[in-house]
Amino acid sequence: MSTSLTKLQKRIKARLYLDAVLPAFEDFIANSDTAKEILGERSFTLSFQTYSGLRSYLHFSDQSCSVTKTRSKGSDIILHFLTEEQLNNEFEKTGFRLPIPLRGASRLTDIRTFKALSSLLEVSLRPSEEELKDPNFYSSHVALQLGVALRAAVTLTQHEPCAKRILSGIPEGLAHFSIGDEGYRAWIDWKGGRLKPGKGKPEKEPDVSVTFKDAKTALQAIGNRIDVLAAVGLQDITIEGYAPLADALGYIFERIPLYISP
Amino acid sequence: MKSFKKTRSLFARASKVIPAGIYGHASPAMMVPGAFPYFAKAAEGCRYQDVDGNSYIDYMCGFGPILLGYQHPEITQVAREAEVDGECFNHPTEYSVRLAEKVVEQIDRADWAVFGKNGSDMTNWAIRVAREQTGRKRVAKETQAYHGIDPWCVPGYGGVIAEDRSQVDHFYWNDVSSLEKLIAEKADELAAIIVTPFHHPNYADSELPTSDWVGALNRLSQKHGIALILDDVRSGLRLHANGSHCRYGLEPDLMCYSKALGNGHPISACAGTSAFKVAASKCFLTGSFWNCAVPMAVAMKTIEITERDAIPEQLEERGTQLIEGMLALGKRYGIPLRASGEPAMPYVRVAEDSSFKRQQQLCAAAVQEGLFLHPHHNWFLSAAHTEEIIKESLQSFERALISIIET
Repeated sequence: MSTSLTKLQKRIKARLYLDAVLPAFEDFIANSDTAKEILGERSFTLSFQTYSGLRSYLHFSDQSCSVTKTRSKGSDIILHFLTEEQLNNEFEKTGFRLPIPLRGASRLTDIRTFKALSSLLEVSLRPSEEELKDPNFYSSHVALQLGVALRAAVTLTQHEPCAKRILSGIPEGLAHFSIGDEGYRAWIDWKGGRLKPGKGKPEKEPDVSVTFKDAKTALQAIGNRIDVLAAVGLQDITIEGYAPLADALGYIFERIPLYISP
Repeated sequence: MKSFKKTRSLFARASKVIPAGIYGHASPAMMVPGAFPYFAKAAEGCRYQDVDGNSYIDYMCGFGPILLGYQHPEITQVAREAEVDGECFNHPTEYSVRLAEKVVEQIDRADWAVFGKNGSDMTNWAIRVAREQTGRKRVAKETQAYHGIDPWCVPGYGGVIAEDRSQVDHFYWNDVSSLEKLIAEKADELAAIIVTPFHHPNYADSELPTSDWVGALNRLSQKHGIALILDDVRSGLRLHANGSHCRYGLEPDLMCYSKALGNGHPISACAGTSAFKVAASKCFLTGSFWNCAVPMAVAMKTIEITERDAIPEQLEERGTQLIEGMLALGKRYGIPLRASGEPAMPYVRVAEDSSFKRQQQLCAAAVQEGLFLHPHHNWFLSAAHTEEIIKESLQSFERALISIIET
């Protein structure tokens, strides 16, 4: 997407960082011994918020993380951004981005812990070619990326006019996504006017099943970096069942890189 | 077991140099990838061969164009005769006048005709004519109806901007109240209502028009001065030799044809009533190959044979034989099937199969038995589908059904 974003686009981007990227901490810490070690016995809540009212809370405790939209208890640390653009800059490490620490500025150990976890997560989300050669690392990277994509799709369909329009044009249904050699499974249920994502195999028979030959194909397809129709013809991607649902979700996935590259 | 070795190899090459490998309605993604042929090699009558040499009785007929059969001898002869004098010139040939006269003579309500190459050429142009005639901007279409590949109506979202569809309104098929509501709100802005003769969406059963629906289309378009455009591209000449509107009692102002009109040769047409002729003359229409002689000569012959041999009646009889046979076989083997659409353009699918997974299994099994049935799109019959061919098809279909009972 061009650098001159509209106000709405900046807000959508900020929502994607808060609602799709930040929750990656949950899976990341759950699956990383290094992250657990860094977190140790620490327990704190950190919130990102903007002057316009967007916010997400990260609760760290018991060597785990949960990300919520609502505050379960007073935040220990509040990072306040005057504009959505500043929040976006913080995630992209560009431009002016200094948040105002409305609370918790003195909790230096917690802030340092969060920064260390953030750096580690960033490496997992944006690894080097060398790092990707480690199969365990690669597997974790794929799971994180796909998790971000699933949540981002949900966010887009809630807030982006084009994604809303795409979704409104298709019948409700359950889509199941899997990766052949990785065993990764996830699903999206389009029902009652909203998308609900989940990990693992869905409890009921899906209306459409999309299977990617391997993780690389899945990431390239979701990142809009391959010719999906050709991949389907080559059977690198197989689609069984009600394909219009998979098509529509595919169009929505393809919109994610317009805003963020997780 | 049919082999698709060359198909796979050719598609791998295609995918390197052609976006999507095969694009549009023929994309493997639209069928059952890996279980269906991708490339054709040759065809005759109602059968075709893929590049691996597998042979099929074809119930898609090139997705509609093949009305009389592949390589129909009279059509082939006319094409050869016409091309002796050349194909593409600075000017139209006499064939254009003769074809327009033929269309006016044959198609009910037609007082004039123009020609293009594809259905989209004509549906888009017809909308411009409607706008010129009415001085209005907006176009109303059925929500799921396909009318071509231009941005206002193309399926999908690639390269389409919101403004492309900003003048398009929607209604639901056979839902008179949805049409009445739309017209109550926007009658003064609507230039055209565009409809197909019957509703044939993908991934859904086809629906015939109710008499209420036909009556509402006629009444509301005439009352409010909205052009009624009949997109007869898919059905034209298959349902009625004088245009599909004659089958249902529709009274369109503009009628668009392609597909069957040239029995496989590239040609499309828009015909209209005299009231729209001046407006039509003001809407620039051209294409480098749109005056080519051979397709026009062929179209004249196709129209002539359709009338002479009562092709729509033949197709209805054969289609009914096919549908009844399939439904009976489904019942016999405990796989309930549902038929919809017109017998000449039927769609038979596994009932209670909302995901279409059983339907995809069935059609993939049919391909193995030498029967090309599309899992998600209405089918087409041609005059080459004789009674014997239908019997042979039903034998193949029976084997396909048996093969999926165990899965």
